[in-house]
Amino acid sequence: MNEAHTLVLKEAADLHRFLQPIAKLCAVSETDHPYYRKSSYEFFSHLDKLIGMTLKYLEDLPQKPSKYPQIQRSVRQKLQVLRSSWGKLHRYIKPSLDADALHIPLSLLDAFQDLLQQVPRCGEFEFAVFQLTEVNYAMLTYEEVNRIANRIAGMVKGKEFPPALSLVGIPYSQSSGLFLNCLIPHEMAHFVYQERVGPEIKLKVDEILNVYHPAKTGTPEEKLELSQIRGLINTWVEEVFCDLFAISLIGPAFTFAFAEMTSAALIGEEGQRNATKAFDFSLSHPADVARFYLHKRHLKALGWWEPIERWKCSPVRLLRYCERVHKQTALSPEINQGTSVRLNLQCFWEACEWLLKFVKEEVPSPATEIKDFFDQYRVISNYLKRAIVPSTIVTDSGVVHPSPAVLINSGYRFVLEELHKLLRNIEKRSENSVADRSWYTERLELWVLKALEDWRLLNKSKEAK
Amino acid sequence: MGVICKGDILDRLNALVDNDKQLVITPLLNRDEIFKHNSDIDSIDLRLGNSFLLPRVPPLPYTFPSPEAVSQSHMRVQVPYGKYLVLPAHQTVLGATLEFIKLPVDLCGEVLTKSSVARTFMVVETAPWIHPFYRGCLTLEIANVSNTPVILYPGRSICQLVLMDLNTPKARQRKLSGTYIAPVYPEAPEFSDPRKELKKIGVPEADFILPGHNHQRNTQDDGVK
Repeated sequence: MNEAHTLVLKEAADLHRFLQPIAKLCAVSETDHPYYRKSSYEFFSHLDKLIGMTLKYLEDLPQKPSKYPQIQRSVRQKLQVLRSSWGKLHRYIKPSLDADALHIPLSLLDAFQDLLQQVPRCGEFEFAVFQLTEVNYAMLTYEEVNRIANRIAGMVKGKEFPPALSLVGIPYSQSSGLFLNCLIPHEMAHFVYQERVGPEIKLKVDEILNVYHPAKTGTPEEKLELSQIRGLINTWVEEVFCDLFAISLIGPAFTFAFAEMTSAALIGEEGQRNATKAFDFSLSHPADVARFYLHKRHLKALGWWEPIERWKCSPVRLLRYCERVHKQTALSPEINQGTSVRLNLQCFWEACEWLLKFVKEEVPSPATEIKDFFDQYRVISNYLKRAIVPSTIVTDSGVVHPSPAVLINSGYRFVLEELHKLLRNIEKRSENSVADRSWYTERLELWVLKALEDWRLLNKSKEAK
Repeated sequence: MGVICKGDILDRLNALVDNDKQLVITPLLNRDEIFKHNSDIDSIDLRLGNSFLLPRVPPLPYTFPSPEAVSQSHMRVQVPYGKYLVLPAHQTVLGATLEFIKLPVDLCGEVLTKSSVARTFMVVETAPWIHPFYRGCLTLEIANVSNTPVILYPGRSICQLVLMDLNTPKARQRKLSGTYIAPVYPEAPEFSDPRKELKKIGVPEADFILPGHNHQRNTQDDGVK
């Protein structure tokens, strides 16, 4: 037998064998338990079809050896690419399967998706969730999923990856949580940046970069540094865009969650400044202090800040502090020294000034929601204090069903400012007990998540009529 | 004590949260229909929620009601609206009402299986009494006592709530108490240590036999060989 052909058959059979168990995993039926969100079914269904096409491609390979060795070489190269591409997709399949309806904050994700779809040009966006082992949130970029899936599709005549579908990773342990998961809209915004507004923002950033760091002839080192500077500024601006987008979508709850995630409460504490890297612009993110300052600017522009500045909670103090010290930020030592010396941070700040206006115009945050929040919070707080799910509240003007943004921010404000009032209302519980505070914070999260689910049902039943 | 009807229920649902007589039932998905002009209601239909606790096959050949039973006895399942759960013949599951209820100090309630559901030989509630001041989604002990599997769709009406006023209302309660404060999902039973509970009524710990322990061996250990 032709030795080269035997190799092709063996490698094809190996790949076939490798894909068989993955095919079984991807064959998720909507009628089988466990259940998933619609977008997850879309992801599994796409992979299921793609894997079917790949198996068919392998089974249809010519059984007789070709006369031309270069054809056999080309087939083997294709097999290698297929194997490595499926190897890359492989890492997201199990974490996506683990993110079933029981292991994700279902009602919160639905609320976020509804809010996202109300943004102009984002009406068809959907996101599937997968679990991360790290305590982190992440969106998979086009390069990480779409390009790989589409490369396979190109080779096996499969369909393109659903263009409006993104994958967001959340920590596996946070399935029942509300507060920390308010970071998810930031990850959703990366998809908006990637698919919609990225080119427009990059164009503007380039304009600004051309003023501060004009492209010119120089040594190869200088050219490299310039390219690094452009890369860094664009990366930081994208992060700021995602922060501002998330705030437009869900309000200050995003900032509070970000403060919790970054343990930023220490930033403003005396003697703690050096204990934190919050003043450093790193390779991947702008300084936390700069981000909080921009959060405050955006909250103010949207109309959230004026009333919340009186709240007696640490994130509000933090925002005030960051406004005072945001110019004291610096570049992290991890950035190449030559680049650091040349990089003018003023360029970043100027881009952010433009970005603040851009996001305010592009992602309209409904003023009614902000007004509703300030009108309804006192009543919602009275419900939560009495351990009542606030999906139907009675105000002086009648029966109201608070909207998701109102519920999320009310829940967050309550836990920051008034949790002790709930604990005082319960026998044998102490506001000074860590265990009690933790237990009732979880309860509070469940009540707000329940209210979000109710809101969706109430809306759907209204539409059905 | 008397059953309260439409007008009173509506007044209480529309009361402000700091009103002692306030009643909460949320979400009431067909509120307009329930309270339309010509309706004369003496109960409110409640729907099935989408979270369930399926009984596990216990690691021991029996269920031992102890603090450990909470984690061992059930497996949580989430069934989105539109999907269903199959309850096999002669099997049970813990569900909860979709509606979150808060009773005022002067009302108590009873949960009854809807008659149409009962006629499929489903028993929805075996601990049907709701005390004044209760809040939470009601945990439903659902049993299929028929000879065929039954499909459960979250969101469908499954039971009805009858509210009764108390002749002598409880004094205004200042603090919340109880084992299950404001649950929104079915919750596994919580048991205290039976040894401690029996000790309170004078049963010495030495007389207490843990299930699964060979009684004869215990007596041998005590030196009665």
